[in-house]
Amino acid sequence: MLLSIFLYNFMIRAFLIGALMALGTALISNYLVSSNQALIGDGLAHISFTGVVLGILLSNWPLLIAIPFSILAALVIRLLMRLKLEGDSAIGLVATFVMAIGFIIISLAKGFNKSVESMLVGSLFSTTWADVVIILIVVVILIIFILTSYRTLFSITFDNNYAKFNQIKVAFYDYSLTILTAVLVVIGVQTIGALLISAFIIFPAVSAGLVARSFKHMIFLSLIINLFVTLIGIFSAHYLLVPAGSLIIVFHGLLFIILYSYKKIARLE
Amino acid sequence: MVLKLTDVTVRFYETCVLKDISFSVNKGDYINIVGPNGSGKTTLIKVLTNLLTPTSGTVQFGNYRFGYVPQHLNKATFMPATVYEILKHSPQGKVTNEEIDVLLKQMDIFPLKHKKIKLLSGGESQRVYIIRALLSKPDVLILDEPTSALDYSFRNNFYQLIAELHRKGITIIHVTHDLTDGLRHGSKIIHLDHKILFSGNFDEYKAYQKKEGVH
Repeated sequence: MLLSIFLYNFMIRAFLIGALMALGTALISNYLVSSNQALIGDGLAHISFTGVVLGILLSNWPLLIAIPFSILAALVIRLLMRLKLEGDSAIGLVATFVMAIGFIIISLAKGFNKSVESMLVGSLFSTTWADVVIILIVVVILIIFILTSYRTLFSITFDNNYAKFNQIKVAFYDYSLTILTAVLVVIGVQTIGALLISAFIIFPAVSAGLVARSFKHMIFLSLIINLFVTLIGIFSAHYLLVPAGSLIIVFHGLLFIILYSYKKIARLE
Repeated sequence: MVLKLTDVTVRFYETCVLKDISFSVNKGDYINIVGPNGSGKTTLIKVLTNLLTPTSGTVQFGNYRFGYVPQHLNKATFMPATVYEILKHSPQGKVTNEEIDVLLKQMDIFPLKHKKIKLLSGGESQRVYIIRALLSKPDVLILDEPTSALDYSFRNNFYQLIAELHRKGITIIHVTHDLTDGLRHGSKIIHLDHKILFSGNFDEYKAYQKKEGVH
């Protein structure tokens, strides 16, 4: 029976984490993609990889080390961006530097008992209830932050300078969004994988933006798209015996191609 | 006094972009600040909008509400923001739908209310940004190269619109490289090329242009 998979706790956790990650990343996705900062997700994923490596080596609960490590690195990236080092360059510099250190640590550490491959592509089917609780807390904080700051975040995303002119504390909102992204990405590295988590931050908004009638509509569509694709991806991955994170991204890619083609054809008409 | 600049100098490393700029703006003024590309106009706008602190010199702001219409319309390339969203969520404070509708009708773009800004023409989006500035009920309006995206026929309409706002009591600070008849509306012209080369009224500026060969 198709629904028998819900008899397994690990499958329930996979669906819960998948759904929560989908909601969280879709929300952030709209702001980062709209302000041309989508690559920050990619950079943070590289950095979080090293954070998780350190966490595994130094603690029984890797997130305890990985989360503060990634937040710190995220703040360094933001600082470099504010110091007028071009955004993409700052992200590339810090991300590759920190990830390289991660690989060196793995090669030097004796008894590193987790395969690098599993960290790069993640494993949604080997999570704990503690992971579910952590991501639930992060997503709730994120939703509260976005609901209470919707107008301000909109104005900063649309016109950063105009927001500054109107005495909006742009740096506070930039740093807050980056920290929340960093925390989501760390959890995503463990579940979706370091190489794939950034796609969660890029695809939902890009696909939704192709057909959205307004920014609000884009947020709504991105949530639906990410949730739908993630749950279908996890479900299919279980039966196809492939990594769930990878299959979700493939589905995202296919959906993007369909929406992009639809938009092009509709315009031609 | 709306604002007063005293010996404002801005340096970026070895380059002196603005040197010893001093002028003041009073309530009811309509000031045109003109200069060629690369003359420091954008830097001056950043100083006037308090987005940049000068290397030396002082900028004093009077107790007035400032509105700002930016040059680069800063349309986030991907963001599907609509005209209504931009006005409703503008950062200067809450505005009502009625206030937005009244200004959209006044500016003759009410039918575009739910259109995405990136699909609007230069002239249409310029009006949206003027409305955004007006929603803060400004005493002073700072305009940064507002006609750069407009073709010649729209420029005249635009200058009439700004003159109308000036007649309603709004102090205008207009920065432009457009040396056409738009300058006629102003009460004072400042010609900038890293430093102030000229300051006076329209007729005096015409004479200055003729003498110095400025076009």
